[in-house]
Amino acid sequence: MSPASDSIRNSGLVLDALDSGVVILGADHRVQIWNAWMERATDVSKATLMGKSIWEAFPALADSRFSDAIDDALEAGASSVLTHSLHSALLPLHLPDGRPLLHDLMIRPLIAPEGRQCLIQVRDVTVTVERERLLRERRDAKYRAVVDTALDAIVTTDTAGTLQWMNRAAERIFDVTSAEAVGQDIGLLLSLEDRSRWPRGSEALASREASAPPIELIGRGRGGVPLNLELSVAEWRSEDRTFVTGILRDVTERRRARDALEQAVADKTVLLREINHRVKNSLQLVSGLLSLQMAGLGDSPAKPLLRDASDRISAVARVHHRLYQSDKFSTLDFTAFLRELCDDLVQASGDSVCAIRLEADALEVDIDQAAPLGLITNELITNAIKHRALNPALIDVSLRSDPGGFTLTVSDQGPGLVTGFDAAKSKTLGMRIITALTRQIGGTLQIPPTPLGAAFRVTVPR
Amino acid sequence: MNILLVEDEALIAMEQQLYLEEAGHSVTGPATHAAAALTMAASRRHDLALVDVHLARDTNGIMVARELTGMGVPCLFVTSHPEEAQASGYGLGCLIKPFSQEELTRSVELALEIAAGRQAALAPASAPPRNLLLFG
Repeated sequence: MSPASDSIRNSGLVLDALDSGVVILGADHRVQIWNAWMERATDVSKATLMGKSIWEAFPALADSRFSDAIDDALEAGASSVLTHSLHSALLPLHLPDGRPLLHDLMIRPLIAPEGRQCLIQVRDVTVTVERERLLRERRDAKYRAVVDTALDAIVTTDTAGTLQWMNRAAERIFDVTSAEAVGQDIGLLLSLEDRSRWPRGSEALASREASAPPIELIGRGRGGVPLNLELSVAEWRSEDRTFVTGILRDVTERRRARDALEQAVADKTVLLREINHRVKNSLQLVSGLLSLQMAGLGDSPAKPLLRDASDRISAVARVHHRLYQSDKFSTLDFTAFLRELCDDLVQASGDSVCAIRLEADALEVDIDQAAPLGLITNELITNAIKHRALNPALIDVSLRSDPGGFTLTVSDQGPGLVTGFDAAKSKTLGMRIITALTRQIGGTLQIPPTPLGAAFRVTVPR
Repeated sequence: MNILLVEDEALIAMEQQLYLEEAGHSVTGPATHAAAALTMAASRRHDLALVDVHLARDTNGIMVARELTGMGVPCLFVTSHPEEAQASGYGLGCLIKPFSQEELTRSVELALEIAAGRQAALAPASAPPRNLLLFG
């Protein structure tokens, strides 16, 4: 045997021993070499195909990227690499167990003495792809566990707003399958008004700060039912493309609960106002009954006593009047109360009888102190009017408030108190009411010395 | 009789004190919160205590009644919330607010009789006031 034929036979052995496919085509696409690996992967024997057109083995590929690559090699002398990752099924190859064989192709020209030929090398990448897939799955497992079990919808779009992917929660919340939604605009999931609020385009993304608060928008749930959503978005890049991933939290229930709570508070406010209104009306009715009683008494000594009782009831009614006029029910605007009380007492007595100078700081008092304080003030001022020496009685009312508490002072220019006057031992109902209620609200009553008339000072610590 | 008054509303306490004194009783108080009530109770012997349920400084008349009962002072609750008083298991009964002078005076008389063990058959004329709830 000549060395040349040895070389050919040896090269045939080598080709058949290779762990990859080798095919050589002539300029007319006829098969000149078809190694044993190709026989196993295609079930087409070398004997049946040798000298025949490659398209007898792969009739479906006669007009494909594969045939183009062969033409490029034979006609233009250009090489091509067709990878599995870009062309999912190149040749109909299979593994010994029948599973599809994933492969890359290298197609290049060969310059042989008989003219240009085409060398096709087939590389089995099944194991590599499988290993990469396993590695990726392991790496993604933790991420996927979070994403798949998340209660919030997680969706990804490109910068144009076209849906690329969504998690299971998104499928459930928006009642779509991933297959239906992917490729459509994100607007599929959102209300008409809010479609434009998904960040699109690089400008919208660039202007968003990383720590921006969630966007509130309305989504379309099962059967088009509106959903209250809170959207947090992040952008990320992969292979020169920018994507937007958004977490959409369904806050419909939370919103509903909040609305219900707000409604309940509003209802309670109306109710409290109504109650204060009715209490005030009832008290005024009682006060009015006492006034009626007075009308028939002529000069009876009972008349001023009924007048006092009626005034005291009016003072408590005034507290409730102020409470229902305000938005706050746990405190009383005591300054407004005081101003109103002074005006009314002056009006009831007549301008010729009494004039009140009021200087008051702004003060809100606790509801528990409101009625007692209202009564105390009423007693102090009516006492001053009652014990006036000259007409009109000149009364100074001052309310001073500071962080430590507040002080109410009522002074007049009347005849003054008897020597040795002790408020705690006074038998008059007015003074007893003042001392008892001052003690009840935790205050102290002082009678500061004054050159003219009498002065009473109630100090209440905060 | 010596009566301890435990009531945080000043005007109501004044009213009770007036009625009790007019009926010839001697009044200690009013105590407006639990600690004051117990201090006053220890200061002298009392034949009866009138105890409000809700007291000042977030204290509670039921606790006061428990302590007073332990000290041998019979208690009559005076409150607008009789359910709480009745459920407590202390006290002879409860006078429900609001009350008239007649109702308070009569209730105190009955409570003193029960406390003294003289549960005399009540004549129709001296039937207990309608707003007096006797326990047990």
